[in-house]
Amino acid sequence: MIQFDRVAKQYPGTGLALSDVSFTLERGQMVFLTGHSGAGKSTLLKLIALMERPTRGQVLFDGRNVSKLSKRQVPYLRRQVGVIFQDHRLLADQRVFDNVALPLVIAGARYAEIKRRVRAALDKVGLLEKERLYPAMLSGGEQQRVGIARAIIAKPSVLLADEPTGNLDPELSAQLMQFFINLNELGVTVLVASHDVDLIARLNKPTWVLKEGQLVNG
Amino acid sequence: MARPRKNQRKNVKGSRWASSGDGFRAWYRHHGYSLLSSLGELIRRPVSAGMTVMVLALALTLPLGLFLVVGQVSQWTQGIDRLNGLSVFLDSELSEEDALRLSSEWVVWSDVIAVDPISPADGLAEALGHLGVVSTGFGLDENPLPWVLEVTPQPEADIQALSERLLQETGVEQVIVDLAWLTRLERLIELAERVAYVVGVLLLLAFLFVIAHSIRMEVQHRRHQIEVMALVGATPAFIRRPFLYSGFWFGVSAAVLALLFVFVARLSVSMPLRALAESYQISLDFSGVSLGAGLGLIVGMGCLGILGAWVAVSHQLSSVWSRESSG
Repeated sequence: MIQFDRVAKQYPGTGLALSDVSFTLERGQMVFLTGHSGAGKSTLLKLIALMERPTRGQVLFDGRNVSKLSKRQVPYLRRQVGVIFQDHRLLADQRVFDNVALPLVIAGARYAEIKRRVRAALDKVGLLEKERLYPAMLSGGEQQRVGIARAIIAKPSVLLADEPTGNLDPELSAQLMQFFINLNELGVTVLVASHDVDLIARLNKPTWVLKEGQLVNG
Repeated sequence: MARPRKNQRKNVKGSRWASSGDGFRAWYRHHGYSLLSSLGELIRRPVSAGMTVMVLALALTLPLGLFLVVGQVSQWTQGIDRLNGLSVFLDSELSEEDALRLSSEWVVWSDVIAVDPISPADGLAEALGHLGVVSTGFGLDENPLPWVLEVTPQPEADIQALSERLLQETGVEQVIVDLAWLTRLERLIELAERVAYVVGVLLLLAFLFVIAHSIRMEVQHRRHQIEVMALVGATPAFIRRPFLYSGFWFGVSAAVLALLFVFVARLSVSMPLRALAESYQISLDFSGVSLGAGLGLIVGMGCLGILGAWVAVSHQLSSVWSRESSG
């Protein structure tokens, strides 16, 4: 599904965020990505989500080299990837409902369908009764869950999560990870970046470790 | 193993649906969304939107009013036949009988439409009226004015030749052709028309730039939103569209407001204008913007709004994309 071939990424004016990364993430697989902060976890996720382009090497998505995609194709590929951001990236001036609905609105879905699926997604993350609130009225954990609902609403084939348990207490963190595992069992390819090593160890899934811009095992 | 695979297929289907939408329906749903979200954005910030619309409306009102006034004045001058006529002053010893005889002789000439005799008494009254003097006991022992025959020529008649012919008639003292005055007025109106065009073009440019500037500010204000939308798979066209609608609303509402301003201005001018016209015993009516022209203005300004928004948003969005891809 997603293949990195000797990928390096350098941001202007800084050192290499990733120096030489190769891996294959199979369709339907679930993998944890761990490492110290600054090890390049976010960069790796951004490369998959086409938020960044590699400085060297190739990123293949379903066998297609994403560097060669035209500007017009990028949005359509992004719709196949659900991303849960560390900083949530919610729209502050829109209600929870509209935030979650955004991917479906972009896809041009019918309003009745949008309503039904947003309700279902909000129900799944336990925020159904807060659909009319604005993000600022929610706690950090609730905002995180709005971001999760938005990421899964359009049924992406790949789900990426960047430190999704960062703001959550251990119990909620465990629930969230179980939620990802359930999604994975439904066929979604899942890649979760997290430094919560204890939690990851208990879940019995493949874990890749990034260290100084390189995958130590993978 | 069978269950995930089944669901995988469902997912593939789902993503295909998500990428293509369902054609035309998705397209008009997108437009519905853009329309509503652009209106929502304007309503959410009524003060800044209102100020923009006000500036735009004023920029439109000035040239619009100017065009109306110039057009109206040029229409009035076309109606002033009498100024285009010839005033034939007869010898002062000619009697009313002579004057009427001459007038019935000339009226059958091929290049004359009408001959209008004005008696010395009428002439005096008119002159006094123009001077604003009402009293008849002016202290003149005797009316100094002769009989005057006002000759209205055919529109295509050669005025010069006609005036020479009239001058050769017996009993004619003087022929006055007040053409120079009219020509000067026409030149003046042409000049005013040209000024109106120049002002109009300049203010339309101002209109365009005010819209572009407002949209630019709006794009900057919503930069975060644009980035998020791009991240969840919005196409540039989808992101651009609400801004184009905003430009359209700006243009349309400014045009409507400008028409309203002109309407009010016309109302406030028409009363004193009518009074002025009555003092000259003529009827002048100040016609407003026609329905067709008004609709044309609204649609045209809407299109100009879209154009301004397009320029601003394309420029701003390309800077968002390049920033995003360079990290």
